Amino acid sequence: MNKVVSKWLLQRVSAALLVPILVWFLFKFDDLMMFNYSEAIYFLNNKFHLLLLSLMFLLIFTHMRLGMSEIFEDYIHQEKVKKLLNTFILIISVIIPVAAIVSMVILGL
Amino acid sequence: MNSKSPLSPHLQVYKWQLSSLLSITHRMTSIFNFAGISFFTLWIFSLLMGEKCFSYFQSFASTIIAKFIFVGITWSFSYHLLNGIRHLIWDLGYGYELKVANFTGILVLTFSFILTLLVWI
Repeated sequence: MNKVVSKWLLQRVSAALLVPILVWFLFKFDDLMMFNYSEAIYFLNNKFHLLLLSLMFLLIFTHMRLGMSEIFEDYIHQEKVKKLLNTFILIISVIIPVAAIVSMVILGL
Repeated sequence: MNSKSPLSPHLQVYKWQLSSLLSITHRMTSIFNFAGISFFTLWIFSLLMGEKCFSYFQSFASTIIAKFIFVGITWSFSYHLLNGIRHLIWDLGYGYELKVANFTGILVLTFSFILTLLVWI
């Protein structure tokens, strides 16, 4: 498959998979932000919650990386700047989900 | 990618319509969503740092400003999610007629507020 086409497809597939996960997350979000320490730990002790949150992080940052590169493609003129920004986004979209997932697993297990 | 590919019409010189307004809102909410997920990552990190560190997060979370941010994040995610579904339907080849596109746009906008309300009630 053409690289641009596979990017286009991955952007849509990650979006579609995120729909049910984000609906679940949004309806937990109000509680999560109000939880005290032990309630929060208890929430992460659930393997199903850990799985959904990990998937959410991976999918969001995959989706974000592709989306941002599309925005750069639309508005950035200089190839060098575009490349630099894409690299920056790539680093962020690896570090944040990995750090978040490792932290949640440490807390939850 | 090919350097000859056309750039999008820049916002300063573009005539505003509902469709373009909703489109740029989609991109703006993507930035807010990044702020939102970063905020949630901070929640995880403060938990990892221990009970004392988490208590700082909690005292912030109980302020009016924090509530405003939480509701804002919820709306931003709701809008991007619902308009994203609209985009997916377009990708399948449906809903391009002007009347239909305007109608689904208003639908998305309305339900983004309803979803936010449902989460926080």
